[in-house]
Amino acid sequence: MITEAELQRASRAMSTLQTAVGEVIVGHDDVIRATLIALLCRGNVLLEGVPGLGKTLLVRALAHATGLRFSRIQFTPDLMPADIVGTDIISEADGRRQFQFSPGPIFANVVLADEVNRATPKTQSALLEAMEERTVTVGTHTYALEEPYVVLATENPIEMEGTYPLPEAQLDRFMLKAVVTFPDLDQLVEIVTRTTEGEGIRLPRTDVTAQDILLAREVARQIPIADAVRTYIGRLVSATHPSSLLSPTSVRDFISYGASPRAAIALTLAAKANAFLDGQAHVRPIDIERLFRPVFAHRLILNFRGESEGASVDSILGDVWKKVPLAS
Amino acid sequence: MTSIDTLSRPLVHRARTLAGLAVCAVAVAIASSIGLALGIVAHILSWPVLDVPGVSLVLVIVAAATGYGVGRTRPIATSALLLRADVGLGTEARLSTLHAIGDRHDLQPYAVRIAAGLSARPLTPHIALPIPRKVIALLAAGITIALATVVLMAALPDPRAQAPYPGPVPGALLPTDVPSRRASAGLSPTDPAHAQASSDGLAAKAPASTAPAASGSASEESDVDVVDLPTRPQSTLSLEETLQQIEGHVAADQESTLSDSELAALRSFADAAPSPLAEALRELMAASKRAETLARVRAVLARPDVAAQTGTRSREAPSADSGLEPVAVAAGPEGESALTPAGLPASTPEEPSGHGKYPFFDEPTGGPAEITLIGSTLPSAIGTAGEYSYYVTKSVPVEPPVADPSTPAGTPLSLSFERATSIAASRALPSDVLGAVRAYFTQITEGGP
Repeated sequence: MITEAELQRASRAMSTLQTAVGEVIVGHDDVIRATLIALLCRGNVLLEGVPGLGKTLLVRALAHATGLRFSRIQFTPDLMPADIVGTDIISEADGRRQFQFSPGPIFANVVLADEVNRATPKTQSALLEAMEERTVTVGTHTYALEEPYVVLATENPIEMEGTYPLPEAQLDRFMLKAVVTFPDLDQLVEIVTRTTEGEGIRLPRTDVTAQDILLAREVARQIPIADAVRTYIGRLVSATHPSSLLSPTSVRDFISYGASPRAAIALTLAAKANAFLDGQAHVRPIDIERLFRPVFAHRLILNFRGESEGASVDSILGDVWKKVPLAS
Repeated sequence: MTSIDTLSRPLVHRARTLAGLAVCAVAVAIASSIGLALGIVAHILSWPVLDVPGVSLVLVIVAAATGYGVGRTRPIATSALLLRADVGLGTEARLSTLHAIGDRHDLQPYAVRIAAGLSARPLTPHIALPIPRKVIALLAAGITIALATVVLMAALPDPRAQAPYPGPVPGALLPTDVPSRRASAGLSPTDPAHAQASSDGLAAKAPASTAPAASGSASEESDVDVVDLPTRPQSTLSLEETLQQIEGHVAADQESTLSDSELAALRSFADAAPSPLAEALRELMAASKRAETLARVRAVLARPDVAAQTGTRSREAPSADSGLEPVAVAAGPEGESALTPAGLPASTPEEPSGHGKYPFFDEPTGGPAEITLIGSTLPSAIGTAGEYSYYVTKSVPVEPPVADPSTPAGTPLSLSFERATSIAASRALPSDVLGAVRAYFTQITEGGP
């Protein structure tokens, strides 16, 4: 049972972390929020944006602020799974040669998989187990990953040549998809100022520990949600399926597969984490609204007609949102 | 901290009321539509016994009450209801979340915070759960249709008064033994038959003392009363009728001479009339004393060319060469009526044979009017049930069904409903009174049921 003191401690820790990361990253509040939500919900985030927008800095700032171990993997077409998960190497000790596991960069707390769609599906799938099970299997051995653990993968939306689109199974394992947009003029000037004057960017350091994050994770998970709101989430997920009576016309016309039950779980947990980050003690309709698109955007698969007619998933999600009322 | 049950109780009560209203609105809309359809069908098919406005109103009231009762007893999903209330109150799902927490002790720190957010807001049920516009619209539509049905049905003429014209009633003879039969029947104005006739639409002004006992059974006949009819407009009167009116009013009123409207009417007739008649009319207009006026009116009325000025209506009286022999005549109080041998009045049926003293049409106001019945016994050749008696007044527009001048006495006559309708229409009779007139003619020609 969560006590009032634990609740306050967890709330204070996340508030501190949010502020610290926000001081380093100019703008991108939604991306910071998405990253923290993923951290609180044991999830992973797919960041979409062109290079140079501060994605790596964001992840490093988050890890540095909490003292968590950070690793970055640059995905390339020739990257092999062993380059990610690690491999057994022959070592010699006491005159005996033996295989010893050398962990790859996936063994960290915060992992940045940069341009994840440039690696082959085989290499991409090396991430699947780590993302979902928090374990890595090499040969016959399975290694547990240290909590808290979060994978933040980036995609470059403009250089699609020579890329390997993520398979649906892997996409579904990303709790949220956050779009990193180009900063506006004021933010751009602020970024230039911060990075070119004085000592440059200094990564934040806080007293927030991994234990605080795990406590916050527990507190956020306990945030109560009304049955009717949970039903509402279920209706939203159902409405993304072409066969559903709740679905709008655009879903029936352009969608091949709708959101999975994992999306309903993700939206519920993300809404709880969002409410917690806002200092609230329950899930509100506004939490659902804020996270509906980040949770659903990468889970809807367009059909041939949708692809050929250039249907926008974002627009279709707008139709779904309008079609399903909160209180019926 | 107030429990969620306490908080939600008025909201649940409100929700039950709304649920009742919602079902009630649907029921009212359906019932009123059915009522309207029923009214239209009843009017088209002339269902005489169906009181459509009443049935429609009862239908709507019963449907509303039943719908409300059924709606109130429907189960309510409390969580969804409280979420609706949250939306209405702007409490961001606090009520529904508190309901979800219920008595879970492990979530009490959360519950305390949620309840703290509620304490500052008034939980007004009618704001939390307003009446849906759809319900209001449905209720308004249903009530409007119901009221429209009542008004429409009340405005439409009674199907009983709109019954199609059945055609002339054959076999209407002028019986000659009315007084004796009337006496033998022993009818009085207080008889049930008299009351029945009155309830059938005949506004009783005076009992017809000479009402028939056609079949010998007092319960099967009806007395015919004089109807208080509206006065016919002066502009539609013929010259003869105008003169008769003038004669009547001058004769009745010791002080009176011609009124302005009468002078105007006479002037218009004089302008259109041939010279001798026009001269006589101008002399009449010039009369200044009552006696002189009365004398000149009667003089003009006695002129043979007056009948030619009567407009569209046929004024040909049966002639002596019709072959009909005189039969017994029961003259009116003034004794001015005469019958042809077959019972025809000396004048045409619709023409006042007593100088404007139609027992039925020409007694607009005043005391009880006498209806002079002229009876004759139906020849045994008509009908199969023995002796029939038919009674007509001297002003009933009867006509011989056979144009053959050699028609023997006692040949059945027909009532001309067309002429009767024409006369009634010229008197600007309302449609329901027309129905009464029709009933009157039917009664007197069929001798009762």
